[in-house]
Amino acid sequence: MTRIVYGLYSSGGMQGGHKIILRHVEALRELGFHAVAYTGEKNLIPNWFDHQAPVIRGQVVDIQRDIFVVPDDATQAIRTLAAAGVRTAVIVQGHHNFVSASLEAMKTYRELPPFIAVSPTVRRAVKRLYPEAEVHLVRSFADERLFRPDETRDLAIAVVKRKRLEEAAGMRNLLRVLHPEHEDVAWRQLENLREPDLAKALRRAAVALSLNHLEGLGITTLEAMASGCLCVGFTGIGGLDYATPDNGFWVGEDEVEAAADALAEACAVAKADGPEARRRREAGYETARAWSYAAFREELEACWMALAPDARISSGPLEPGP
Amino acid sequence: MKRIVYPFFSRGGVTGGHKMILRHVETLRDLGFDAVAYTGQRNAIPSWFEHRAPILIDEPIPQDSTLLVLPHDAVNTLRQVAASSYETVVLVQGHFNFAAQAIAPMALFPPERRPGFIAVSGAIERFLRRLYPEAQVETIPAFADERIFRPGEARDDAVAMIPRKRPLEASAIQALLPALHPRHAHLPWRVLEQASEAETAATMAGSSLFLSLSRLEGLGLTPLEAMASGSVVAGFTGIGGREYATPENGFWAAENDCFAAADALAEAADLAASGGPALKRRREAGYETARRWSYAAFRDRLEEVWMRLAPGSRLKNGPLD
Repeated sequence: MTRIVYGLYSSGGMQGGHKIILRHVEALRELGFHAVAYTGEKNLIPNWFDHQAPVIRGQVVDIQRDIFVVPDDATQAIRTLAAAGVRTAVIVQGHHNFVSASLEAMKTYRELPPFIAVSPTVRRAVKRLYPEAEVHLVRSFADERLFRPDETRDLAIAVVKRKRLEEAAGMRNLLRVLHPEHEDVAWRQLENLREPDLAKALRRAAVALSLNHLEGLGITTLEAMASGCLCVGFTGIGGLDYATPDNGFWVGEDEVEAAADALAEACAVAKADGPEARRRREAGYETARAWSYAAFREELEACWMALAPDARISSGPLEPGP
Repeated sequence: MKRIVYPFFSRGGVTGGHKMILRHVETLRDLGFDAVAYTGQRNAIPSWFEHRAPILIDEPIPQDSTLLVLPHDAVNTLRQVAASSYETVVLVQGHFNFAAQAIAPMALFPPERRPGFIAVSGAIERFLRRLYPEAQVETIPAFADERIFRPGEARDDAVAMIPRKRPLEASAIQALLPALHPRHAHLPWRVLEQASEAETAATMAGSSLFLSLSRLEGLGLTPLEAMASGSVVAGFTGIGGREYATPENGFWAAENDCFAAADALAEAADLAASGGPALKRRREAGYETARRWSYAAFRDRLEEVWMRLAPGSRLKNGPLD
């Protein structure tokens, strides 16, 4: 009987990738798979979102039993697992990070491990690097159990600007100077909020900036769509997997001036709050449904039924605990 | 007669904008203008390039006889000067950074004292004209210095790059080139970190290829310097580089797309390896572009603009020093 062990290496801070890893574990257990997360003695366990995934610390992986899912940027872990001959899968959430950090380390595998890609963009990147690789698509998701619209919302712009500080400041200042008619729109910085608080804040804002940069996917923007925000800004390349002319006001990468103009357009639509706002919100909901927890869960199940069907030890949810 | 004072505030390290400021001062003095640079006692004096510009350190600057040329990112000084009676011009070398930092302090100037601007590229000029339709905006293009950046006698098959603005992309492209295009796996990488201008020029002149890692630029000088040095350029324009990037003078990739940049670099490397007329044409296109962004062109424009802005500051028709 195989156990699925997902490596998680956090040194604090909020990283969407850690959330997805623990959601994998949690959902696998609900599907009856024997899955746990593993972290090092010195690593932190993220506390900015609620989860039920068991996290084991410092216990030696059982080489006979376990399949270890290593994150794309855990270079040292990749080398260690390859050297020890542990059965491995690599979860790639950001192809730029993967390429930058881990291509050399990947060469130490005698046999190429299978990959789990969180978006079609990431899958294409992995397939281009390793045409012969087994790549499973398990798309990440905007969690509809948390991110959903409210009945009323404020004329406000939600900003989660971890990745584009200068661009966000530029957009804000340019909006004020070039489009002073929108000076009345509030600006809400949603930094360092726990996931439930972020969900609450997003559903209260009419507009959200998309500050994606060098993304494998860009989940925050999908979460904003699920919350009913009109999204404006950059796809971060990975966001091209879901961005359409209807579900956002998109501009070219790094085009800050164009982004400020797009923001003004979104503010005007939000203020009018008429058929155009409804049409665009609907397009956002539709996109978010295509990237939902429900869709993720199905792809996750299919992936692990292919990779390790014997890890499924129950036809129903597993009890808590490792 | 007013003295032209260019303040700048360095915390050490390589910042292209500081070089341009001191080149303004140096060239103005060569043209006979009374111009000096100014900095604070706690600031660093850039030592990564040679220059002849006199620098006042924390000396009093009289308000009535000075024309200040303030860099747009000297936000605190802009705030102070807004409340003073200094005649001021703002030198804008990056419009992305201006949008993020300078818009608020600019709003502190009373309407009757609103400064004019000097932009270092057409992109910045257009941006400023859109923001401040009433303002006087002069363009004095930054330049690839032909006195320093020129082709060398011998050149190796190697990729030069300056990763400062895109460290993640630099390492990604460095890993992608051999992975996706193994025929170029042998190419050595010459990584320029905090290199002096002379070292950079020597490396560019001695390398067949230059990976452009420009990002959020008002212009992006280093690809121009690489073109002047005869390197084949590939990579990102950084948006500001669209002022000069053409399909003939570089292998340009969409912003932030590292896979496309690695492919573009491979194409450039193929061309550099094959040699012949196609390579010659490509280099010629680079030289031609660099000539349009040369010191000579800069100097002519600097003189023309300052004869308009402050003709009284020209003390003589020859070098001051």
